[in-house]
Amino acid sequence: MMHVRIDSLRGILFESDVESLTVGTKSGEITVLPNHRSLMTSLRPGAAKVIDANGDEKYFEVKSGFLEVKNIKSGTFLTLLVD
Amino acid sequence: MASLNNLKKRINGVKSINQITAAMELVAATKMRKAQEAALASRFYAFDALEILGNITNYLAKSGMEIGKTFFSRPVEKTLLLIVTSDKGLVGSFNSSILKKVEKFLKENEEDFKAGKFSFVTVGQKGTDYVRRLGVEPLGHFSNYGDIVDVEEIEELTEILNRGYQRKEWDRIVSFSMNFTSALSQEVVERQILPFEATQIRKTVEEVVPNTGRYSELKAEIAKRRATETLDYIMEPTPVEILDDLLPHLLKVQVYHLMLEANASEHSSRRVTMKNASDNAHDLTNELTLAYNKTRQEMITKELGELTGTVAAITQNI
Repeated sequence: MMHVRIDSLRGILFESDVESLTVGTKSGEITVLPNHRSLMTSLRPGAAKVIDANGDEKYFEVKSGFLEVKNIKSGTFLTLLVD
Repeated sequence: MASLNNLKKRINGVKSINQITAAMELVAATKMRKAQEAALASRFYAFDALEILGNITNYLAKSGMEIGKTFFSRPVEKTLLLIVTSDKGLVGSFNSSILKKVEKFLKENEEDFKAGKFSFVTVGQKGTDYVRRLGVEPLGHFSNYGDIVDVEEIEELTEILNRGYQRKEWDRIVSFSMNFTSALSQEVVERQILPFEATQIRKTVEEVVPNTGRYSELKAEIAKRRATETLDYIMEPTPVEILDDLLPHLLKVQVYHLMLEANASEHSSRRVTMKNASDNAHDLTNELTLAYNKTRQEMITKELGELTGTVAAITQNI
């Protein structure tokens, strides 16, 4: 399990524990799973897809933004900044 | 002695003014709350953006890589002044105190101003009018940001600020706007927006989250996610490119907060002004009603006097 928070200037769009996150980055589409290595990247326009514990998919629009993956002792934390 | 009719008219007039100002007071109070809420809603984004900035710079420092310095400091030749005022009046000393600060700044840097080293971008009609009176046409002027500024609305403003900075049309951006400390107190602040001062951005953002009371639990929440050591990040594409993408975002965050603070201050200032106006109208109504009643009473007394006088005269004659 990993924790995802999607922030926008209007507020938090999504915050929950999820199974995976798929998003388009400037160097290609990536899927982040729990225990991913720490990563920092900028996003390209598209959609971010999260799959939660029940297997439900959720989509979020991304115009531009950043993804930070932090793999620390207390867990894997993902922060997405989107416009 | 004013006539009864005139007094009645004035009383009605003052009463309707009272109704309008009381309504405006309520509207301003609601708008102020909304602006505050919008500022609070964006705080996670702002904090996380700063966190990422911090992590990248730490990473760069650790790996001994050069940071693209342009955003952080460079020799100042030209300056852009961003003046944030309101579109409409009836806000007490809101606009005049901002413009007074600008005037002071221009006086202190008179030589630079005369040498044409200052350009202006204004938000709000009052500021635009002021700059035009100085005999300068602002490079950009925006209005209708008044209520609560929207994220999309500031894109164009941020774009102008950033583009000129990149093209070296100016090397520094200084903003003049009202800072919202509480519903009853606001102050004019002069901030340097670009080049970035990391401490300044952090301060701006931290001001949004109170240390105690409601929302203060946020700080603990942020600390929980913070990594204690520098993580071994994979940076894609390269740290410098991420940084180049990130900095315009930070600029936007900063401008957005600045605008929201200005919005909240404007509404709060208008609320106070309208409250005073309502109180005044109320007092005036009381005074006028008193005068009205006195006049009416006097007229009755006069009529009674005339009546008894006439009766006396008639009975004497009989």
